Amino acid sequence: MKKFFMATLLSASFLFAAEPNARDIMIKVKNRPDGDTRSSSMEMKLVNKSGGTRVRKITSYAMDVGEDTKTIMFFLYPNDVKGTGFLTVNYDDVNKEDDKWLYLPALKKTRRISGKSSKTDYFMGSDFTYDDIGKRNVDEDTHKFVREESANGFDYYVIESTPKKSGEIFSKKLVWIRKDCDVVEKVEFYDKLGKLHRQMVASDIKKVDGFWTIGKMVMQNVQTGHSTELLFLDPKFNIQLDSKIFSVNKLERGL
Amino acid sequence: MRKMNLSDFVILSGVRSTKSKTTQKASVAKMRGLIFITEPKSWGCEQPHLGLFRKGSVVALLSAALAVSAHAQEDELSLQLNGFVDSYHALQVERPHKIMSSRTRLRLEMRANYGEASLFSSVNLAYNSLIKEQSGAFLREAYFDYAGKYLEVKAGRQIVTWGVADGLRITDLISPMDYTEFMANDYDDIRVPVNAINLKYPGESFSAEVVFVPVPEYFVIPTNDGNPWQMPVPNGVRMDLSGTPEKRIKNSEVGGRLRFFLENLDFSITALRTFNKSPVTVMKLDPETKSALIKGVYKPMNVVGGDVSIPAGELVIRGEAGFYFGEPIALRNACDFRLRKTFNGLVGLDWYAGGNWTFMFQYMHKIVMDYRDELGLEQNTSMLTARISKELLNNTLKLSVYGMFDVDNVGFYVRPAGDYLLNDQITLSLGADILGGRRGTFETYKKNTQIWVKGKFFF
Repeated sequence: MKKFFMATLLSASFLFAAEPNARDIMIKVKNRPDGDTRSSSMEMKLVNKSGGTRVRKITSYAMDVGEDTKTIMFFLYPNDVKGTGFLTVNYDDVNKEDDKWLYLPALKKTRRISGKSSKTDYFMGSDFTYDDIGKRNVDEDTHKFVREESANGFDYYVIESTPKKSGEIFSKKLVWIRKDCDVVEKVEFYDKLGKLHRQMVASDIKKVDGFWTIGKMVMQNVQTGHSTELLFLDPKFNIQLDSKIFSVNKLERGL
Repeated sequence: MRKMNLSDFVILSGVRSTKSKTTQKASVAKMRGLIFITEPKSWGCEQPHLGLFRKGSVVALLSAALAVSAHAQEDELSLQLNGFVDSYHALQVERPHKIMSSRTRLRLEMRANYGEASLFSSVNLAYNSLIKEQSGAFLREAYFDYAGKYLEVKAGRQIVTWGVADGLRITDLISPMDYTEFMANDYDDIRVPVNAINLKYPGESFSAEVVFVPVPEYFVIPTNDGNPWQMPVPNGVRMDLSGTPEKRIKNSEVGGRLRFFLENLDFSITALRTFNKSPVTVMKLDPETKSALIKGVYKPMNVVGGDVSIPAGELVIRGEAGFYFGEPIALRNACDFRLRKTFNGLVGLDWYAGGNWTFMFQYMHKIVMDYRDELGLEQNTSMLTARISKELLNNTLKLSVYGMFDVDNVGFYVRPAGDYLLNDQITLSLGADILGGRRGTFETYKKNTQIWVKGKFFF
């Protein structure tokens, strides 16, 4: 309700603005309703330049707690990482580092890991960083409205986002946002030299249980030729979840 | 391999039996009293042979099976079968370039889930061309698991891991170490499973657990003649490590742990009634043969400790400490031992530097209280470890190096390794174990510096 109210207010403000405020658009994207709880299975297909493929399968659960989000992921495939679990608490406050724990079944140990560390690392060898698949805080970047575009029967905002801190793997990114549903459909990431580095395209955008959902994302590293196809299977929203599943204990027990 | 003199024994607490040619439970584990190091790999593993299942395991499994069958009839039974095949071969670097290890294994892991209850077992079917006793079918873990809302029960043969130290043991004392093959096994093979009952209250940011081990397990050391990692002993000296405590309730092991997971802070508090599972060795005169006898000593001791993890930017600061009350320490003349209170502490720093680089450093320190010069251990001893890893080629290639430095003996162990994921099922690894120094265990095994290859197929 709170999110809906905020989105309505923001939408209303656009009617009177000469040029849309880029940060407001990004806030609206971030606050797009996605339920208080959700679950999904993910299948990642990693394709290298010569066409060789690797597959990763993950099940994840998420719960909003106020403005913060708790997420727990379990790796199901391949079998060498099966049982590995990853628990995060994403804080909405840009000044607070996320809490993260990693469970390694071979060691039978949970490690507290740095909240800052893995954000810029690639997730399980894919072309997505942890930041790409998580919720990057809107205020970690400076946003600039670039233009409006129409293509494939849809209208888009194009926003340029520049990281405020050094140490990011991109110098800027161009983001295409579908106006009708506030879904990011395309992102171009540029490296430190200003060259196109990676390109993400989302597809199979549809409503599930009344919530706009992405069914497929493809991230291509145009410099290496490596790409990753990420399928979101069986997404569910506002499901009954015990808050205890977002715990180290559950991480160690597994699914 | 050079033979050791008596002073080496004092230093190493290393032992070998001339009575039994099979692997013994004992200690090679202390280097001047430091708790031994474990993680990068182990020294092999004494596992219960399938034909020698312990009564405790069988009873636990039968109870578990009954419990599962009685559990929520509306739940569906699901079965999982996973495992891997791995083959490991190592070659001595210096002459005569002998084969240090050659073994192949099939690991089967089976899990049956039924509602909130499950049964798990893992079995190794192994062939070891050097150590015949390591060939065969061996049960590793077998336990019943129930996850209630307020109580979780895990009963049976299981590996218990506590603490936050990386490869060093301070509060992680329940599952002992297996040093059959020095440093040639994967981490999960280093730990010796124990028959235990684990009861846990699972909270969201807090958990409390109690572990009861009716019959504790003890360290396993390499004693087989065909094993290149066999602990050397002086000629004419017999070793007897059979003196592990009687299997009576008063010699059981019990411990508890409280864990807290908070914003920017994890910590736990532990208490454990256990034994020095890595025995202290003392010299005796064998009344039968009138020759020297090395006798293993195991004494009960109480441990109070805890650990902490604090993330700070790209760093995570770890700490672990344990007070051991009544730890036996051999005398300098190796003829007797004394019980002492010792403090064992560790500080670790993990740096997640981005770009798939990870750096982990640790410093561990041991202090013997009420110190006397007669003790065969320095009052202060310390150890440094470092682990650096980098993942490349979309995480298909992992390069790593793990190193330990025994400050007091100026001994070192370095393990560079490369792991390449050929595909989703197959991993190929190449590495080396480099040992050396002035004194201590690492120096003893200097000639065993080796290179190795390993292939692993997951299914």
